[in-house]
Amino acid sequence: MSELLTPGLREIENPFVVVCEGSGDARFVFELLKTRQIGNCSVGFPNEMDSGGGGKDAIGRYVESIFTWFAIHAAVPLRGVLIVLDADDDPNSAFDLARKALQDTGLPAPGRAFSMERDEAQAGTSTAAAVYLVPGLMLNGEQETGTLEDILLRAAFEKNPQFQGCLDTFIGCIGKAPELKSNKKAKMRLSALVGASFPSNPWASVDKLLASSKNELVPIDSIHFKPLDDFLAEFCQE
Amino acid sequence: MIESVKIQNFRCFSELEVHGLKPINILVGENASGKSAFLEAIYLALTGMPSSAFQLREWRQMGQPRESAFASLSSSEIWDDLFHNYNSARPIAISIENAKPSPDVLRIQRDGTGIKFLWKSAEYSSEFVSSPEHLKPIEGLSSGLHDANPVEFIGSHTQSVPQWLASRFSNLSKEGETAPVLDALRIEFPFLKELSLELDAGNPSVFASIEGSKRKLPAALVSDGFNKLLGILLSIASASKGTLLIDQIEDGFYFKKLPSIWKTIHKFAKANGTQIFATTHSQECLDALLPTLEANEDDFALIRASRSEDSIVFRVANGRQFGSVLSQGFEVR
Repeated sequence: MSELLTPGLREIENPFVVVCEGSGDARFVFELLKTRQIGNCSVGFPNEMDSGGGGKDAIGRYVESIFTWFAIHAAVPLRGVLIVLDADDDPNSAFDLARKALQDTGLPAPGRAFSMERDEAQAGTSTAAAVYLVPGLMLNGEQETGTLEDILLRAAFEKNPQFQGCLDTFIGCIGKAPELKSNKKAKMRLSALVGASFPSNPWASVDKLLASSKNELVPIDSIHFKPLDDFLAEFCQE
Repeated sequence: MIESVKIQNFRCFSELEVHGLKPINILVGENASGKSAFLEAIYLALTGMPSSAFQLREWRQMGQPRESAFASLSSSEIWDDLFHNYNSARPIAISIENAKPSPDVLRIQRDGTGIKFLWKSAEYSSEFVSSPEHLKPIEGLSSGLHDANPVEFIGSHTQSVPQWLASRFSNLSKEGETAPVLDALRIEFPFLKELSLELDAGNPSVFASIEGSKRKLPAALVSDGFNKLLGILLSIASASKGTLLIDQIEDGFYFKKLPSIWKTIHKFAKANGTQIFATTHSQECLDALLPTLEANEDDFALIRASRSEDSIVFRVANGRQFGSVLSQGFEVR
């Protein structure tokens, strides 16, 4: 059964591991795995208490911790590591960071995002590695800039198109909004949307929204998630 | 410094190879996975003496064979527990690789009614035969080899023996080398003024002068943690440029002191060139190591012992990997 490696969970049950930047991203991937009924994958994110800081900065250390855990326990062989990262404004930098994390750990390093690399490094077992940059590829095959929030918003707007205009107005009314990068604006939009969906807890996170059985805001089976969904399915069959 | 160890037919090990060893090696793993046996193998290989096998019995709390019983005990009763599956037909071989051109190798094999210990290094070789008429351990015999390969072992119970501490302290005192031990102890126990050797109920013991008390106290009465750290520091100094083996290093220490104690032990071991092999079952103890480990990754290795259906496997992670898995909260034990 696929699992979400929340802080405090000290063992890894599955041979495939998806590494995300933070708890919201990991929850999203976990919900995709559940919906698709992919049962052999663990999803985790760096411990923010780590002295190296959480998020992207700690991806390398987290990948190494996963690799080491499998190496010293060998309860199940590590069959694959997939890093899911925001492309942000610079997909090349994001890819380089992920690639370096894999390479430094001794895992196979893919030459580009969205492709799987494998070698026979560990005594007869084969470990695959890949990098998926969110939001994903555009129709022309080029990497789109942006973050997870962009595709979550697309899914939310698809179900409730009227929200887009409301949020545009809201963002437009915020004094500093025009100066913000589009990535920050997307986070602001989603944050406002999620907060408004939980009247009893307006501070609710994306993580909480996606984990909620009452999530009617972001349909997890949205067509906007299909490319990542398909990639996960293919990766976990490797 | 020991870089790798190869073991054949000893205790729970049919065959075992462990590479990538560092100045400080932390052994973890479930019960009966071979951690203590690994320490014993290193101790035997570094001392090369039949008497060391009797020392192992004491550390295992198996008791010494009674002197009056030596003649009637069969050789196999005394020696065969050293052999894997009690199979003394196959020799024990323990090979220690370090910076020397050739490894130190101890072979233990049956020789008629007795047991032969054959020890060979780049510089020395020795051969001892233990037959029923001279089975008694003779510690003095090991002194020559001890100079070549200084080694100390702190078992779960060893540190509480006052004579053991007194002997190490006395050796250091004669050389005028007790000051660094005092300085290191004062980091953790700033109330300590002085250490001295006194007679306690007729036995030599290490006593501590502490602030606020005119009367000196036996080290054991200061605290378990004080006594334990004193034992570790004295052993590091005693095994300078050699090896210290510690079973259950966390015993006796207050959890809030552990991070600082790790720092002190690392610094003192580094200053003395003493390599450490320490076992632990304690997550608190491992978590407390993290700051020292992250600041000195090249000095540490993690060895995780595990038992599969028919064999024991030791897996080694380097300091950087060890730090990563600890910092991210995954289980290493």
